[in-house]
Amino acid sequence: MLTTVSFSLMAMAALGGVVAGSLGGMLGLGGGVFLVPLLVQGLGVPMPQAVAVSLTTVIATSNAVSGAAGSRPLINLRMGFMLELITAAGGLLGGVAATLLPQRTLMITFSVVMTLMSVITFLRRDHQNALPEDADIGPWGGRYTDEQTGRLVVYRLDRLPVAVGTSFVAGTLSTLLGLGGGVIKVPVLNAWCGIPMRVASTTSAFMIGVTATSGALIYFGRGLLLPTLAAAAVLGVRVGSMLGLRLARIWPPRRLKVMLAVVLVLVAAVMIARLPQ
Amino acid sequence: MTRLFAFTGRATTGLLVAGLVTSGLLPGSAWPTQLIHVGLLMLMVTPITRVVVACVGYLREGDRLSALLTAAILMLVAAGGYLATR
Repeated sequence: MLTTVSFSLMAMAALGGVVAGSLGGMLGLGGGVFLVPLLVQGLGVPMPQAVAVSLTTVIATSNAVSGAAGSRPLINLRMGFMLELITAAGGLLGGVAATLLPQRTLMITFSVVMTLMSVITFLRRDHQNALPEDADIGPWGGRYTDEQTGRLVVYRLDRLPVAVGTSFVAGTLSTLLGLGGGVIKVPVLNAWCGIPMRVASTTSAFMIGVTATSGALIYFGRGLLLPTLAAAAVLGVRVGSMLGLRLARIWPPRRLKVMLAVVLVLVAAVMIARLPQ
Repeated sequence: MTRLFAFTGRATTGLLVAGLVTSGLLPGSAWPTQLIHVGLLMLMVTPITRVVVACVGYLREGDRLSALLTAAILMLVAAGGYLATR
């Protein structure tokens, strides 16, 4: 295990934090899928310590996004809590399945699914998830005023079984592959379930913090969290999330969806590159 | 409550910066690590505090379904933490 942290290692972790925070602010992703390989394969940090830092940055991203004034009206707490509960249940199954399924098969399946989601997100980049102002929003929908257009956006959670099933699978894969669920939930909620991109990403950003907290506390309690490395990464996240939030506010949803499609392909590529032999 | 969360965010950043700066100025001292630990702990409890606050808010509004969902999440997080430490 690593006991001392050099200045250059802290600087690289801070840069990784900037990238993770930007992704969180823009797309509601935790960024762990980039940060863990960067720390382990790029900087030689042992896996448990890298995961501990990554979980801490996920929480920092979540705090920064959900605490920003512009994000609060976009977070659909009710829907987020409902899906989070399903995600947690999926996580429990993942804990059991981890001993039964070969990780290589899982990683290949995950990469294929990510690539398909990327294609679908790209093809549906012009699709608007907005209903008439007097539409019934159902138990899980919501309303917010779009900052760019000044118009009231009304939406409803469609295809509830798809949202529930996806959250369950996201929870399972989170446990099996050590990822946040945002990378799976955001594209599905947006492409199939009628949730606007900004609502899907900010709600996801809020919930990934809750998911990551219990894990992070365990790593912290076991002394696996390198304080200076985590501090540098978290400060990077603070800078990156401000940048990401600003871009999410000024960029049209279409551009965010194209960005998400690109990130999904990159995630798939990183996963293939990390395949165990 | 929004102000409280904004304050904890700024306090966390301040503690982490202070910890990193003092770790360079006072090598070998335990102070920098302790400052960073306090900052990281504040960071980690924030999401759970938000869920607790939401749960209380739902109870006050009489929204039982949402209160039940948030309470269930808190129990799952606590159970996960308990199981993982055993």
